[in-house]
Amino acid sequence: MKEAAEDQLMRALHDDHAAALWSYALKLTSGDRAHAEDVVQETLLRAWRHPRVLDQSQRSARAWLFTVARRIAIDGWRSAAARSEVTTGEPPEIPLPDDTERALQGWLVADALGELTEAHREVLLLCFFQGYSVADAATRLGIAPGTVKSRTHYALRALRLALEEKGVTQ
Amino acid sequence: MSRPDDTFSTFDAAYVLGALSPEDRGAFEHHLKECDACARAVQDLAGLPGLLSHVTPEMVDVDSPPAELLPTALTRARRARRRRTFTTLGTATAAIAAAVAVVIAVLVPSGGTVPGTAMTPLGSYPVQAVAAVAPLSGGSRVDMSCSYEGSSGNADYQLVAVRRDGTEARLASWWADPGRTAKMSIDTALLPGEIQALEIRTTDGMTVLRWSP
Repeated sequence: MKEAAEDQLMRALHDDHAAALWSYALKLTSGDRAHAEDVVQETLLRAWRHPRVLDQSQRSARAWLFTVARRIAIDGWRSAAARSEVTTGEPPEIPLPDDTERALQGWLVADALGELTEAHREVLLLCFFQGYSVADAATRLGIAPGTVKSRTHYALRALRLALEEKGVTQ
Repeated sequence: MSRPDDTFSTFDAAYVLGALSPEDRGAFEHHLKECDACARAVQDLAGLPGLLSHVTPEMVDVDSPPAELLPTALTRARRARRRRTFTTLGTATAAIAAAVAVVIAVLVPSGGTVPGTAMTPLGSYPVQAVAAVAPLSGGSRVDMSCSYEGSSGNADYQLVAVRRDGTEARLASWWADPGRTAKMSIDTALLPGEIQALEIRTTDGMTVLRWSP
């Protein structure tokens, strides 16, 4: 049924992007949760109306969503659009400001990390984000230092692959 | 055959992440000068720490969006879809039957009076409507306002004009929302005298309300 398919689209949008949009919207609204929720709702609804936005790399889709969220939150884009019942697709054309670009990259990398195996993610979180040395990570995880090295070796390759699939290149 | 390179073959990632001990780092850097394969491997990974550095703690330790976000988004999408269905079907009818020129439809909160006479219920259905037909040059305008008080979610209705010769023309379709009134104004090529009845039907063809001039 058509409705079920369109429900699925909204569910997929939510599952793929809501967490990133929510965090980004919280930042845009300086932590105003009600406003942030409004921004995310409106952004998801717009994407739902223009599903072709999603027929591209995740990076481009995210860029579209973040730009829309930004315009809704900061420029009050919503109020103008809410006046007309049937909205038409105005893909945002303004370039992303640097902070949005960084957040966008960060979220895609975080998503890619989430797609790794628990063992791979864990070793990267320790060795990169928490600054553990190979020896410290080995003690912490109860494995040999050589295993930490080979695990990071495979983990970074898996990450690179996941990022490439999202359209992120170094 | 032993290959001394193998000792270093998995050092690349720990090296770019900055996790090697000073001794390992020194030995690996020395090795890199002589081993193209390891140098290439390091090059392949060299951009990743830069990308990882864009990840902030709240992106990993995710503050999940509010639980009501998805249900609300789904409700809004369904509502938007209904509006869209409405417009689309109106247009389709116009194209096929050439009977409908314009369909203007809005969903408004129930209440308020609407011109026209009440349509006759053909059973106990949770739906009420008022209709009117007015002559227009080259046809007529059908005004209809339908409110739905059903408790079991939404319902799909259509408005059909029955001609004197028994043939029918579908004028509009819409999704009824509980507690809301669908109002529509349809310009049709049917002359007022040609219309024997207007009927509101469910999608499976059951007539729930009828109106006669």
